[in-house]
Amino acid sequence: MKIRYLKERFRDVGFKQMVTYNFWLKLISLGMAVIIWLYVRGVLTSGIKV
Amino acid sequence: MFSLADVMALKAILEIFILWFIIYSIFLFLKGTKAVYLLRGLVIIAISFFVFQKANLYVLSWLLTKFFAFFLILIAIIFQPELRAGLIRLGKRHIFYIEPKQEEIKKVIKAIVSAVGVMSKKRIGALIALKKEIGLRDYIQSGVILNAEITPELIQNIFSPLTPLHDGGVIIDGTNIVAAGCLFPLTDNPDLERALGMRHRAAVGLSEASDAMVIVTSEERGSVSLAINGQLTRNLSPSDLQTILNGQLGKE
Repeated sequence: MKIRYLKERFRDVGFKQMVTYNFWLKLISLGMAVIIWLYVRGVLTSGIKV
Repeated sequence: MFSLADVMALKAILEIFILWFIIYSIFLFLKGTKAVYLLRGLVIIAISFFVFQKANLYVLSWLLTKFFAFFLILIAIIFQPELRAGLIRLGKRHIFYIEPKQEEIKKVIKAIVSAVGVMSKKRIGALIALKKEIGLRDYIQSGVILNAEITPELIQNIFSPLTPLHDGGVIIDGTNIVAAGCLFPLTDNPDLERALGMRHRAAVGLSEASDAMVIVTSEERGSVSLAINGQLTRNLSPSDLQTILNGQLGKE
């Protein structure tokens, strides 16, 4: 049921619109995700170094 | 088949994607709620902390760390209802919500104008809020959730006197009537005419508190007014209303 709904939704909406809707919010979130990931990875790997 | 580096890169992408999803969901949840101000406060604290650390200001860093812990406890107490609602909604939200098409918007405007015209003639009081960018979750929750497709008949039925939902406002989001019987904040603008009733004050109040457009039909005179950004435009004809709504909501 859920998969069918999602399929219909994806067909109606299209990939372009999916990306462009709330574009800046998505981009800022992605930027934050990358920064947090790099920061945490940096902290973790610096802890491992001997 | 896959080298260790490939697996590591895939894992990194997966981790970043999950992080992005969490952050985006938090932003969507906060959008249009009072908690946005809280987020601003958190960002200021985080930036200050970063600056203090870089400048080797240990005392201030230490104080901020302690204050931050205290601040987190305060958040949990002050925003307990929002946090609870957010956790409940987690997993229910469609991340790829899409704006309605232009034809659908025009259909919605036509239905609203038609209903408002009839109610104005019959002198039925109505209060209809059209949501734009800023969310109206707090107000939606104060009413009865409908999630019904907009038709002129449904709008008239909601505002028919002696029906349970006729008191309070209707909130329209996209092509749906999201809720009816909602409580809107009253404006305390002293410049507003004293003769205006609660319905008009609620319309102006909501348009001050958000970017929503609020349509009011007066019970006494049957006149139609529209509140945008705290400004009330009165005595509109249905065609005036249609032109304004097309200009505000349509992109063509």
